[in-house]
Amino acid sequence: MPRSTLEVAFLLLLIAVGLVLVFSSGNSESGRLSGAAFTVMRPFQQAVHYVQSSVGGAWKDYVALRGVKTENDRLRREISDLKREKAFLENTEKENQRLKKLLEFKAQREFPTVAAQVIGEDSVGWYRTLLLNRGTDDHVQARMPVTVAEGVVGRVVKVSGGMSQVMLITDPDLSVDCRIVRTRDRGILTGSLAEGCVVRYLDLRSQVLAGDEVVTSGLDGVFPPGLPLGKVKTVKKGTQSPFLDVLVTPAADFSRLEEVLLILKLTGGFDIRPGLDGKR
Amino acid sequence: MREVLFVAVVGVVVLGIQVSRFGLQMPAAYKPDLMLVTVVWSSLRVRYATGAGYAFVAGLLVSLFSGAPTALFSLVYCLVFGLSGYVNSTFQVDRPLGWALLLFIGAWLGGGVIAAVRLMEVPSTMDWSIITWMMLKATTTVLGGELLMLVLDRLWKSYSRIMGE
Repeated sequence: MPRSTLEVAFLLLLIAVGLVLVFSSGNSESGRLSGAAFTVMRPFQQAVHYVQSSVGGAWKDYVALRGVKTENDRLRREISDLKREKAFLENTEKENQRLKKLLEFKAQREFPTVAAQVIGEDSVGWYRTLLLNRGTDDHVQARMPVTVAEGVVGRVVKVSGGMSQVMLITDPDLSVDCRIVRTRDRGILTGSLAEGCVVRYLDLRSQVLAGDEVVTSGLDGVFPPGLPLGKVKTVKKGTQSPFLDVLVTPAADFSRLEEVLLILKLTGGFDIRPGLDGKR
Repeated sequence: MREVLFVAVVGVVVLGIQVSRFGLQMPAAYKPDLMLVTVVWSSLRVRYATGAGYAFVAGLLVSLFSGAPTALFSLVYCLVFGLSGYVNSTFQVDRPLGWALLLFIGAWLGGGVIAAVRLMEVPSTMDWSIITWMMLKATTTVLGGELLMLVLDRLWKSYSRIMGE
């Protein structure tokens, strides 16, 4: 069907507005628009998360049960009940273990934290973000660090009343000032479009090796020092670059995240005086 | 007005599905872009102005629930909408195989724009893994999209029968 000039002009106008917005507004951290959208979507996300977590165990049990042939209905029902109970208990046990780990981690650290559930993920997956069920109502603010017992998860980028969005350390838009534990070299850890993370600006003379641990340095004023970021996977000498190409496997497993800790401390709030490492 | 209501409801529901975790079965990076599918569908079924407006608003919402700069997806979806409408009006591809073609081109166009913006924002090397990623994403979008297009067509027919043409 042929388009009228007016219709095409309308589309071009929308594209122009999109271009202007992309290059002028950037990534708003807590704008009213995102706040309103988050508020509208939050109950839906919470409900989906609740259904997923409570029905997931029963569904797995049902699928497993289909292959089982028992002699009579009573035994089948009994087995079914026991299996469902077992799946529920296993799920609860795993959740307890995860929460215990988080609590132990929380107790080790001196900064205030709040636990949050992961209730959603990036809308289309071109970026690496997660949605959490905590927001400004729980004193969460943009730029706050997010972590689990295994290591750093990312940083809050958008926040509304009851929901916040976290950019993962595997996203190229996020940078963390880091340190190689063994050599004490400093670098900048960023996400990679390919996989995992990369450490930039490591001097060619650095003695970093595969398997070395990478932790936060605390010098960016956002992440507290000493939090695990990951382990060095490969080290290569850049062909034309004066720095090493260092690939890092993140310490946290992002595909299995269910609960995280938000560190309620803002930029510049961490004590990075030398000699304090041992006390942490 | 009836078109606007339909696409608005579709947009909100699909966005809800899109931001929900697909679980461990599919990593977020490879999940289908269902909003792009609804944009391609709107380019074939609803009036041009309604579809273009929908593409813009849908993109804005997706940008808000993503780490993307505001309205990046509005730009992407408007481009996909324009291209899809043009290809269909020129080559008459409104059938399942044609949908797959439109979705595949749309996913690559979208991925290309996003990759270009990301590479402009942050210095990063472009290698085969990114091409593989875009290919997988386009494939999942086509597979999921074929199904969603059929569902949307069914719903649209029922809705039109109830509300009138």
